[in-house]
Amino acid sequence: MKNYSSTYPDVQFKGAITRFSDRPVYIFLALFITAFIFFFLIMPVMLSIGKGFFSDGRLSFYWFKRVIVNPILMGELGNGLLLAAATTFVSLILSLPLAILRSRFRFPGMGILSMLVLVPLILPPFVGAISMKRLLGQFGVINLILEKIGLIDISHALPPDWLGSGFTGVVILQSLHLFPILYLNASAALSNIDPAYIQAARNLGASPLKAFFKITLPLLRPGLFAGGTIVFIWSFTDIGTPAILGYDKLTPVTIFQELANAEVNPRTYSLVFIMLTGSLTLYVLGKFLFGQSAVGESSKATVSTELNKLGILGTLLSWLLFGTVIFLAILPHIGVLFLALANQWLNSVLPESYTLKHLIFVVTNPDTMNSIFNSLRYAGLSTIIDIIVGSIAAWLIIRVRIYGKTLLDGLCMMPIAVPGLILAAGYVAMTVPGSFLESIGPTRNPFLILVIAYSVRRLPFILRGVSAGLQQVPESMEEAARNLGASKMKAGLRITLPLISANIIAAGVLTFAFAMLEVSDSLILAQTSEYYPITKEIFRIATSTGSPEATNQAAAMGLYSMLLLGGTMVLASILLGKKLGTIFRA
Amino acid sequence: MKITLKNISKVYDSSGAPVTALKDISLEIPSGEFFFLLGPSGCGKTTLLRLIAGLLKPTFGKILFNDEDVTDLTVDKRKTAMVFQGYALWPHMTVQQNVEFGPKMQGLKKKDRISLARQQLERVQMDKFSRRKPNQLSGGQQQRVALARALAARVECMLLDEPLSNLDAGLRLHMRDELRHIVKSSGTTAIYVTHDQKESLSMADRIAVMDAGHIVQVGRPKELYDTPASKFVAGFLGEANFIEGRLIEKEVSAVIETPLGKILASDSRNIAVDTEVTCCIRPERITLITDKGYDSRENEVLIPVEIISDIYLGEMREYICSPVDKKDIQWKVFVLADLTEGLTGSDQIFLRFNAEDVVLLTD
Repeated sequence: MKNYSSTYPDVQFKGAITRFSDRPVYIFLALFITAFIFFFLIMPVMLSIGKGFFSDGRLSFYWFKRVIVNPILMGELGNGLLLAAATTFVSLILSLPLAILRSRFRFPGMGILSMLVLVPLILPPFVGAISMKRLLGQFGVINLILEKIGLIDISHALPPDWLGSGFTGVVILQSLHLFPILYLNASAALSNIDPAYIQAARNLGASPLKAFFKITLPLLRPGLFAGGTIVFIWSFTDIGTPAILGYDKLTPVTIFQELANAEVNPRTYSLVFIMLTGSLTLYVLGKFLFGQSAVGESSKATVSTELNKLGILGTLLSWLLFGTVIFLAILPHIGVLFLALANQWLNSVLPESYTLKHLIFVVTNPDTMNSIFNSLRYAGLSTIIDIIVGSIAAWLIIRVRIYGKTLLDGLCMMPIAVPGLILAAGYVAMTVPGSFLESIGPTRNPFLILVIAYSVRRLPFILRGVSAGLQQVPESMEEAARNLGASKMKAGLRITLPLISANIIAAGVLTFAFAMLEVSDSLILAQTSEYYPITKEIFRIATSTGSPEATNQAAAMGLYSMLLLGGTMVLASILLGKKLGTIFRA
Repeated sequence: MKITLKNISKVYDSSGAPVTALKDISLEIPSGEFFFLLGPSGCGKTTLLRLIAGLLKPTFGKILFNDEDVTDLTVDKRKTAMVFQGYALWPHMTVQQNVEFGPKMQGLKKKDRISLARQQLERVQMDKFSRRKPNQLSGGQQQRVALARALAARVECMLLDEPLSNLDAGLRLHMRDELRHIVKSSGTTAIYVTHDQKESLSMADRIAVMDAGHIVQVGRPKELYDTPASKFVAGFLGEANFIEGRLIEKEVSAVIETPLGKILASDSRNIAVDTEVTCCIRPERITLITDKGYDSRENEVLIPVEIISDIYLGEMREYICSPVDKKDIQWKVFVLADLTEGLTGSDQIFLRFNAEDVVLLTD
């Protein structure tokens, strides 16, 4: 700064400093967000990891070593990686052809089909797995159908179990559940690719296939990795599906059992550390090594693209492809529907009789109703927190010139790489009996930590959703208002806010819906029935052996959840259109 | 409104490495003038416009409106009306709402706002479209609405950032006249940023030519075109032929010794004898002649050349010529198309120009 004033000795320096009068506000806001992430994400996680590295009050690698040399635990870790890789791969195979069909071709019914593809995302936890067992298990519906048409004979030999050893079943279920995330990312990425790139390649003699592999696929890579990372980490840290399908040789299941059964010891935290390292590595690899975009996010199309209209054969084939995938993905939902409505369903393809009593049970039983109210409170509050924190963060990152924006963005996106299970472990560690936060711990009154856990985990949704909106509103829109006499506040409220309101609402309803059905934090952090959210209540009913109708009651709760999630997805999709994919990004 | 810039500098320092966008700019724009900032991309002209609007703050220097210091006034208090390059029409508001926004911010009553907006929309012939949303308009229509929105603010300073650059060539030509008419009839001071020299020559009262953060010359269009102060200005404002030489005499008319022989110039201004100079001659001031027996008049220069290439441009032809024994030097000559007969196939061709058409540059 001194050299400026020596160059311009006459000019007073004072003005140059006072001109940045907004700076303190920005810095305060940035610090506020950093503090939010630090106290509610980094600190608890560090605390839980720390517990794995202390023995008798001293730094020690004892527990870590015991985990590393334990063949059973290491085997579980290997299983998890294999499972996640398989799920991601199958999801990719399912989603990529559909995404290409959707973005490059036009055929009748495409709108409704591309909407239906999202249905799997609304599969409620646990009950989907239960219904798949009912459909594909040894004495399931499929085998009954096969017996009816004379292909197998149940009375002579044990029929085949289509879900296999459990591993296959988990892969099938997870892939059918998660492939829409990849589909959304791939669709968004495809629609962002300037058709001129492909036209240029075709013009220089590339066949459609060559143009796809040489141009489209490389440009698609960041989108695929962004979605792939989320699917991989989701699968790697999932508890619900493996637990219900009985495939428990997995690290997250072991951690969950130890955390939920108060058998917490340093070994559990060492496992948490290993899981976290795995997730973070994947995230970093996916984002920075393979996911870097060559052209930047908002490459604007310079030419319009004429979508190829498909003929009758092409339309039929597209319908067949979409139809098959959607049918497979919708099977668990159908199962849930029948389970929720079945009066009696034993050894028959369809239920023998139907009833509404399970649906009525849910809305009349004090426990289930209590859980619904709990979830509404937790999810509602956490959504409000997310909208406030996430929108401020998005605005700072996109619109304001401050140092360390990349760091701030990285901090806010960290929850994607830190699975709910690990965050829950952090909160357990933070509120252990004897600590000063014990009273808000899982066994006492976990209201606060559940709200905070939900909001920390879904913060990236809001951030990405609002950022996408802000990026699409040119700064000159605000400047034009300022230039015509609007204050900063007025320009923000009258110009920017209306223009990004669709993004905020869409990201908000999705955040709310996913918080309503959050699994890992709910299972671990709510340990007294008074504070159970919906998912924990479904889990309790589904795994209780007391009533023969427990499965149906769980399914009935699942059905309500499905309707809620379905409604919000439709709303979000109407509001955001193809941009919906930007929310599910790493 | 009179606008005064005093020693304005702007240093961008966001990435740690300071970049100087503007260096010590001083300028005075009298009230009611249609003033142009002309320069290549990256020269700082848009930065300067945004400084005047208050969208940016100068690192040093002062900005005065009617002799009142507004340097520290925020953008919403500056009372300038800007037409943005991409128009920045708000997509969620109708044309009418867009135009009403400025008056609304000034606290005008609804009735007055409506009639004011209507008046301005009529002025740009967009009153029939007041209920449409911006994305239902063509580029030219959006441009008019943006102009109406700025006019409706009824401020004494309009700022226009390449407002015609998004329009196609035909419409751009048409809008030049119209825009100048509307701006001049409104009586406000207007500052217009462009990189198009034809736009500035045809519309401006005065032009400031900018290069690399500096203002290199300010003047009326004809003044700048006919007597550029530097090779940069001469080249940026149109085509020019340059030939290096040395001023050897300036008694009656100036004589410059060049590789092509002696060239005469009528105005040597304050250049001292023995100075290295560049002679600048506009291609349209040169004629090509074939007559060997042509009598050279006083103050005229004749150079024997060969035609290297010949490009038909419709209303005229562009010739590239090289002096007979100096093939490394090329001259560009524009000749009206119907005056070119007999040029091809001639044995001997001469370039001819007058001493008054030679501008001496010392940079």
